[in-house]
Amino acid sequence: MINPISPINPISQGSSTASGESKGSADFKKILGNAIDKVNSTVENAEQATQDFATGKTTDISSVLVTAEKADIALQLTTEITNKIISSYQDIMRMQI
Amino acid sequence: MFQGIDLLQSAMGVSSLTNQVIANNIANADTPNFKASYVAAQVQSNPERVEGQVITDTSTSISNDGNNVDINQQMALLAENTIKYETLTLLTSMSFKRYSDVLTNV
Amino acid sequence: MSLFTALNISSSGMTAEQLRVDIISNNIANANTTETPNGGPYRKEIPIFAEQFRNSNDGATPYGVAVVKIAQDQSPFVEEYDPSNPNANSKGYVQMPNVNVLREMVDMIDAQRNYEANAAVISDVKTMADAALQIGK
Repeated sequence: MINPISPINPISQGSSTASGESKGSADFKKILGNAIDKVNSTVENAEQATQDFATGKTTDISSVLVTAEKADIALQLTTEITNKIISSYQDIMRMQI
Repeated sequence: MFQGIDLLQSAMGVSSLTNQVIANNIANADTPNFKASYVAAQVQSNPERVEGQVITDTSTSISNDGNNVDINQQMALLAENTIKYETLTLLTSMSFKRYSDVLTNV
Repeated sequence: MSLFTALNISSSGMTAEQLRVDIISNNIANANTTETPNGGPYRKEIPIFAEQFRNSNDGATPYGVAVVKIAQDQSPFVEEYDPSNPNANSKGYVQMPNVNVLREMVDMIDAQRNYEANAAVISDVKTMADAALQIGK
């Protein structure tokens, strides 16, 4: 005997679209915002350390280069994260339709 | 937008001048009555930059012929200055890269 | 431009020190020469170093060194008792060159060290130029 096809259950995500969308985007914004703030401070540190070295205020080469490298890595990491977040967000937005 | 880079460039200019002064001191290590010079760096503002001034050290004398070049000191200054110059070029590169990273990923 | 100037300055230093080494070698080689074409024993030679300058927008700027003259050391000849020497005088004394070989060796080592110091500057200039070429790469 062939069993009747069971009805398709609505996707639970769809029912909470209204609140879920705004909650989701707020989370995304917060994650993005946090990442950008963190990067911003590492970049500011790097700029300050570079300036201090150029003016002769500090002669500690390793600490300047490490600070600059941290900013470099933080920027790259943030790029990866934001790209990932944006593409995930776009995927989900497409799914809503 | 490029003030940081300009500051680094001015610092490299001072380092380059320092190298030249050291080279002249070393070349004249045997010249009678020759007095060694050095570069004093000063930070200026508007725009922020470093400027170097060549100062001759007329105070001391190491040997009988009036020459006051301390070759060991000059070699140490040379090494220090070369490292400083290399670090400044590296920081310049990293600054450019940081700017381009921010620009391409905003 | 400063980097290239340093190269020229250091190479002038190397040239001067090399000439100094040549003169010292000649002094040592002639430490026992009692007869010269002009008559008399060999007289020690001394290189006279002088700072060089170059005219630029800021006036005369330092531009290395050069040997401007090869002078003769006027300190007296050394008298040695050697009656068998064809150049001995009536009392049996020969006038020997005013060259102190030990002193010459010390000067030789000093010249060598300065030559190497100038070479080190050139090497460092190349390092700095290479570093500058890496900017933006």
